[in-house]
Amino acid sequence: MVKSFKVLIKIGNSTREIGVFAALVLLVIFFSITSPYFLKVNNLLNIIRQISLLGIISMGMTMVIVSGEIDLSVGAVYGAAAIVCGMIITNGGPIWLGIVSALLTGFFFGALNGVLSTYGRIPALIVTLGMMNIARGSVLVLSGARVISLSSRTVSAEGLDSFLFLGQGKIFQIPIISIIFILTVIIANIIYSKTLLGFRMRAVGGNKSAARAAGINQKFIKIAAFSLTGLLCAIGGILNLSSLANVQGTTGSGLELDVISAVIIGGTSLNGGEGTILGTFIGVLIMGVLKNGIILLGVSPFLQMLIIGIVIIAAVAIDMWSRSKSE
Amino acid sequence: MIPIIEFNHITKLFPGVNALVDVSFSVVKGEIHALVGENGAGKSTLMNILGGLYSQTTGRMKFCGKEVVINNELAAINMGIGIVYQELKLCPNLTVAENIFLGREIKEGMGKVNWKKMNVESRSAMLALNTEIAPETFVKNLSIAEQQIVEIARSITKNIKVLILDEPTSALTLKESESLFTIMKELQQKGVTIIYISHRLEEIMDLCDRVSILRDGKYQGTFVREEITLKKLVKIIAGKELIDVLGHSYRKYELNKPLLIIKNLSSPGLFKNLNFTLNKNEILGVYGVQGAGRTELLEAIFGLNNKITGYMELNGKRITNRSPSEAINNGFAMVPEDRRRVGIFPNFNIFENIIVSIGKDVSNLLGFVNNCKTLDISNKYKTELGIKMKDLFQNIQNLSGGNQQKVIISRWLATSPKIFLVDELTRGVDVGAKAEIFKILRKLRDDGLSIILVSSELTEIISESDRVLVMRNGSLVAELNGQEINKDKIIYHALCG
Ligand SMILES: Nc1ncnc2c1ncn2[C@@H]1O[C@H](COP(=O)(O)OP(=O)(O)OP(=O)(O)O)[C@@H](O)[C@H]1O
Ligand SMILES: [Mg+2]
Repeated sequence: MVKSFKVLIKIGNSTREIGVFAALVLLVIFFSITSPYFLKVNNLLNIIRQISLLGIISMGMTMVIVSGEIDLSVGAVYGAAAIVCGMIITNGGPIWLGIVSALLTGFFFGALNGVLSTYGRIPALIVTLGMMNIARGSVLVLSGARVISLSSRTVSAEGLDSFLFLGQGKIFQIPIISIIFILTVIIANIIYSKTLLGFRMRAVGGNKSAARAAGINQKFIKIAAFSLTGLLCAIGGILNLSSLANVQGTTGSGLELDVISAVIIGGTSLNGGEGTILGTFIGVLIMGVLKNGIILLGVSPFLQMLIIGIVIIAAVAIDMWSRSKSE
Repeated sequence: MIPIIEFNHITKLFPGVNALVDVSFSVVKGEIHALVGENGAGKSTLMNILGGLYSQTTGRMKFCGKEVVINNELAAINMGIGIVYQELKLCPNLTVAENIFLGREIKEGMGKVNWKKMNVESRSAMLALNTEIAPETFVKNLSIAEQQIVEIARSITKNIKVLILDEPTSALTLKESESLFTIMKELQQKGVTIIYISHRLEEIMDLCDRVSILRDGKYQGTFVREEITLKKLVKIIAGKELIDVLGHSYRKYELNKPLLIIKNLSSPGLFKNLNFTLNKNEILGVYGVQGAGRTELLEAIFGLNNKITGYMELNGKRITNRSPSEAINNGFAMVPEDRRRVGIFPNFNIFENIIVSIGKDVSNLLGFVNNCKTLDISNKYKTELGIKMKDLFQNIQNLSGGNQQKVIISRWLATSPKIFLVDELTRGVDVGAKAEIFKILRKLRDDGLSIILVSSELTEIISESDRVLVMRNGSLVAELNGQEINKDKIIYHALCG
């Protein structure tokens, strides 16, 4: 027991997360000094609510990047899944069908990304860039660029209230979407650090040829990572639809950059092979705190982008420098 | 006897490891100076300090009588120190010429690079090294031995004073080693001092003027070649008397239980029409010079080459290994020649590197890995093969070359294979550990394992094989049994049979 516990700690590669965590703490201290509202319970709940959807998708993105690939299509797939769900429901379909179709849509796009970039031998950057446009384009065609909104007027199916409760409701003050986010983190962490799949993702990302020679089916591993990400995008999209009660063709555009930023800030290496779920979780929190804090300070949105840009570069730079020193 | 390099009380500490402790000795101008010691003794570390890759924790160095501080690799090169590192450091996606001139490209004004001139000079550098590797070839298409030669060509700059070779022959066959030795002698004639690291002690006794010995980071003395015998050298290296250094096979099995039959195996441009049988309880040695197709044969059997014709029979059943994972399921395992490219996971620690191939056996249906089991397995091999490390969770890249090799061997032994394909199994492994590894292999053979042993070290082939196949130019040219397994016969067939 003690033995295996020790292994887990080592697998967690904890030194890296300590750095990211320290950055988070510093940010929190800074904003709580500069803004009296920051540490209010309501504000904190607000932050965790805002990052939940981003966070859910980041868990998948971590696995894709650790496997040595990248997925630019997550924002578009997130939007597409929401549109599919919304259109089915508003056209009189049952809600469960909307949800299942959305999940299948996400899974389909994810798996397709995986198959094209492994069996098709097209670099993932290109496949997912294309897929981003395909998903976004087909959604715009489908929805005709309308806003699809859910209300008792447009939806005849039963259970609309409970569907909306999923995205808007709270349990003990905590938004349900945030609870789903936390559950996702826990499950992702189990998959990533305790199962063969997670171990093999790191193997494939660390040395592709060695992984093949070691008998690992790297195509399968990558397709799994992409599919999982697609599925998580769909979950995010459904929750987004349910919390806003509407969706449109442009929903989720640009989300991929936030997701990738959170993963990178969390210490995952774009070269593949290294990164942790816990790190990404902290990275997502940093993104949330940063965006929230900047708004509280009354900084203009343009300056916001600038600051976030600096943080991303600084985070990676500190990570690289601290690593080359320890070598 | 003018010293060109003097090490004074050099100490190098890594977290948890004392790689070098108070090492002092000097290298005389114009000599070939061997540096020997067990895996992890600190040889590469000392050379990396000289080459500017690491800096010593304490201690001083003198070069040509002057105290020097070598801060980076460029400084070393400018001083005339060239190093061929143990781990090859070429860019696979560049050509031979581009690699040779990397960082010191020939320019013709306005920053324009003169490729033509670089190709011409590379070609003559290659000729000087007795090879004809075309300068336009991409390095990724070269064998390890050829890459080794490119590395050497790269390190021999115009103003070279000291050439350091860190285990250059570990993947070279006799013929290539010999041409390397000729080159070393020629350089020596020109006044170049050579520091030479190798675990092949016979070479050292043939070649070197003096030999210095390290053990556990501590200096054990320097001997003039005439003063020391092979036996004494081994004793100082290991710190104890080693019996059974070079194993001897006791071929007590009747080789009449065919396990794997290879029929008409061909792959365009690599090998053609190979037919042979591997028996149960057999170590089948395969020898040939570079380019004979040995590595390619193993890769084809292991499913790393899909452009093959012909077929294999395992226990009388036809099988195809279309990928390594199929091969592993069929009971095959393979230690590859190119450790860095297809062996090591640089992002993994030692523990993870050992268990990466046994996933299915140590996880349950849901894919959860049983860490107690994996830990037991890695601890077992750590002691059995004597892997020198701080702990199992150290990054593999911080291990010495020979110890990295032992990690890879552990990985494959852990899969309990039926057929073990090994390509340069003991590459960079010290004498003591080599004896240990072959003892394990012989025991596994006695328990029913069959082994195809590809090695460029002839003594290894002769002493360990129950039967020997010789390859030349992609064909099998001879099968040798019993008394026929001797140096003369093997070399004869490998070169001109
Ligand atoms: N970067 C590093 N970080 C930590 N430890 C290191 C590092 N490099 C080397 N070591 C340790 O220093 C010791 C000496 O290693 P070195 O590579 O010099 O051995 P070596 O004599 O060249 O062995 P081999 O014959 O196997 O190549 C080893 O125990 C090794 O684990
Ligand atoms: Mg070494």
